[in-house]
Amino acid sequence: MPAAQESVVGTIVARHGEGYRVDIGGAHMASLDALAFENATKRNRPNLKVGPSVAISSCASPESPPSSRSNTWVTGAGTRLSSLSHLTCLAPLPVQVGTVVYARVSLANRDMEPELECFAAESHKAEGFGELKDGGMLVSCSLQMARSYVPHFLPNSAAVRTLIR
Amino acid sequence: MTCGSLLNPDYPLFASAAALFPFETAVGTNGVLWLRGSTLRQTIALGRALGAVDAGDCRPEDVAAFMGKMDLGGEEDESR
Repeated sequence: MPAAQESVVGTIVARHGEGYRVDIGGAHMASLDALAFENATKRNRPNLKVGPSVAISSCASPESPPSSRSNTWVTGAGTRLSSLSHLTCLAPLPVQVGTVVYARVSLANRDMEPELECFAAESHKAEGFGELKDGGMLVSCSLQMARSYVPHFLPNSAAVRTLIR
Repeated sequence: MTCGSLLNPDYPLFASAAALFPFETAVGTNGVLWLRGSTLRQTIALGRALGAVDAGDCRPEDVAAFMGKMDLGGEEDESR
């Protein structure tokens, strides 16, 4: 259950009339309006790829047996991994995965599906939000304490986004 | 490791990793983190390092040493 104004990383899983459904790992899919991007207009909409909800494959590290732990990861569409012999990546890759977006939760209500926006609340500029490039990797990590650590933060830049108190 | 601690600017993980190579990352408070190095090898190495820190196998300030043991390849990357 997200809270309003939180920044989340999500995967586009479906497209509907005016926008997209985004998997942000919650109980419900979030919705992202196609116009909720910087400089988006009725004529100039972002074109995001739609993929399966989670493309999971297990990746075993060289120094540990595969059964001891596995991470879920997703790569951008079309990346080739076969040359990486030092990593034992076991499962085949999906042909297409959904675009990954960095978004801000604009509406969070227990009884409604969360809504996302890809611009900063104050400036209506991207400020790092939006589509994340192909070839990246998704890592899941534990999220306990996430909210108590950060009462309020903004994404900083496209380079490394750090917390601004 | 939690996504929350990654949002703390004093948490040493990203600083340690950035000493080795530049990368982009987006940390969501939903427990999902996106990252991308300039080569696929770097991306995967950083993902493995984050997994190791999450599992407690590696301290956050030691991720550079952890990734130093991997074959990060050269500047040119064949797969991107």
